[in-house]
Amino acid sequence: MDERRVGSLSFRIDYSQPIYEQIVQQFQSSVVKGEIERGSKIPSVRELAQALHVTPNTVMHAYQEMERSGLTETRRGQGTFITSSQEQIEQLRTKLADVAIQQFMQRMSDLGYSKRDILRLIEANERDEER
Amino acid sequence: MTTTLEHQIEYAVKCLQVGKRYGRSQALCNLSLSLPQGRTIGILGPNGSGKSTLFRLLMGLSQPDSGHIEILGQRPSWQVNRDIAYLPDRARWYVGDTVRDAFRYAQRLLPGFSQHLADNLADVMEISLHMKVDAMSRGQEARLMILLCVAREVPLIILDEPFSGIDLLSRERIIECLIHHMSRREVTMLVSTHELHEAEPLLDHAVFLNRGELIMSGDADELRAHHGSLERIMKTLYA
Amino acid sequence: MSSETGFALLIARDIRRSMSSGKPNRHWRLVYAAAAVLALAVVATYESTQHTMVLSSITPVWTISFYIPIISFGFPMALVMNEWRQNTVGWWLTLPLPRFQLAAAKCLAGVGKAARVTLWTFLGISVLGIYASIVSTHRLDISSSLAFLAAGLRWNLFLLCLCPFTSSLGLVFGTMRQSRWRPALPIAWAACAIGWSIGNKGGKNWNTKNLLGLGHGMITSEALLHVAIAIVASWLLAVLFIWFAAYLLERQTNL
Repeated sequence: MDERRVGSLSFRIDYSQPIYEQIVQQFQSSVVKGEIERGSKIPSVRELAQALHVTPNTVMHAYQEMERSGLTETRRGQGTFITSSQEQIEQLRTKLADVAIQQFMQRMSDLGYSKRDILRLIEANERDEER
Repeated sequence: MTTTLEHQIEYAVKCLQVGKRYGRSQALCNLSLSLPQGRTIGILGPNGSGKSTLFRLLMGLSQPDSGHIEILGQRPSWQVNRDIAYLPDRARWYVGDTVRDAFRYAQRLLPGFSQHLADNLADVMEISLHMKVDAMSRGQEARLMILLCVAREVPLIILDEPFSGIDLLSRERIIECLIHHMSRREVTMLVSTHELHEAEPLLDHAVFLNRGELIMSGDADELRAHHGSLERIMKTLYA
Repeated sequence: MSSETGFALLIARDIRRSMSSGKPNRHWRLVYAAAAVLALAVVATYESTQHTMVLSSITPVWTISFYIPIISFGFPMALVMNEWRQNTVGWWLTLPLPRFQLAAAKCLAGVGKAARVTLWTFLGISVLGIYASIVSTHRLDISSSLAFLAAGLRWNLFLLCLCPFTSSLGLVFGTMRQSRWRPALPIAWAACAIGWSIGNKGGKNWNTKNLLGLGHGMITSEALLHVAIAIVASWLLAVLFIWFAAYLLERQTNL
């Protein structure tokens, strides 16, 4: 696992998983967390490829995915920008939350918990934290 | 360069049932593969798996016993070699040359060689023009030879084991230089190696050979999604 | 980029290339060269004080440069084999030039190296011969000196004209060694030996003395014509050998 910084962004690349997916995921979480501002410019394919030590084709693939999902937009001759629409970002946040919940629920059900048990556990956990 | 023509060919390399034997040993056995254009392709496998043989056939250094080979849409020949930069396996540079002599050689004999690019790369790779090949370390010589390939504006670059026997620092320099080069313009690159490690992030596409046969190939990220890192695939395939 | 300039560069590089496989040591080579010059000077001085040396009588000394066509056989052979030995063959045989040009460049480089040796030999013997005659007769005879030089020039040029042939033959042997035809090498040597003996018989009437401009009168125009025809024929044969070497390099390498 390599950690690399590009400007204010930091990336962790794990070669055991598709690299383009990791680039997309890390952009998504940075945007949702507010580490990258709405409407701001992101590095060019070339810059990011060189900084991450991955091939330009991989970065291009990631950027195409991000554009397709509406996270970024390309302005001719200016480069690639994070969407300026708050709505888009909210949608993304909801989507990521959905995915996180589904993953969590799947793991809990693998451990043998029912939905009810899970809710109870969460509440108990919260009370513990408040104390 | 004829860009329109390049786009008509979707595969940089096509092999159909290629066989090659040296005496009693079968170097390539009914090998069929198609390598896409514009990507960096790793030809992977242990020593003796047929990587270098494949490259030698592509460059017309030797002839296949059977099968059909197409490279950049043509049969291998000295004419196609104008469009290919090739780093031979275990190559050395000519003793007695200085770096400047080597550049002169490339300028006159290797089409597409850019003096300007070569000077820049020499700077990045810390090779001085006055240096004599006889006085170079193994790593410096390897950097010079890779530089001679990469400083060519050609549609196909073939590097046979560019990282073997080179110190770690040189390896990283070379990888940085290759990535820099790939992002400059569209180029197809074939890189063979028997130890993946640092080269892993370089690859868009991987071809695994063993004893002259194709055992697995595909898009690097797709392979990662199904089997984990390419390095791990190599370990399991050749264990 | 024109292929001609590339071709010329290949020849120039091979002519300059040093043949010693080990690291050449400049200092020691200089010491040996100086020792050789000194020894020759001593012998020449001694001999010229013992006998009366007239240049016209020592003209046959030029025949010692007979080794030139023989070493020009060795040059291309070594140049080809070095590409393999020094692991540069991958660069050489993937150059975007037809194999015939690659083979021809090696052959011509062999001739070029031979020409360089011829020049040094000519200069060396000229200086030595004239020096010896001055020491012996205590005067410089301009006209006999010029005759001595002319004879040497003629003889050395004749030998140099044989070099393309011997060079191309060396090229064939060098490439054959590195090809799948290697087992046929003894046959090639045998063919060479037979060719040599036939050539020797045919060459009997090539009087060395005549070629040197000695003997009774000058070389006859008829003999000169024979020599010229033989030389041109040997060049045509050389082209054929280069073509064969190119075929071996393209189709039959052991790579």
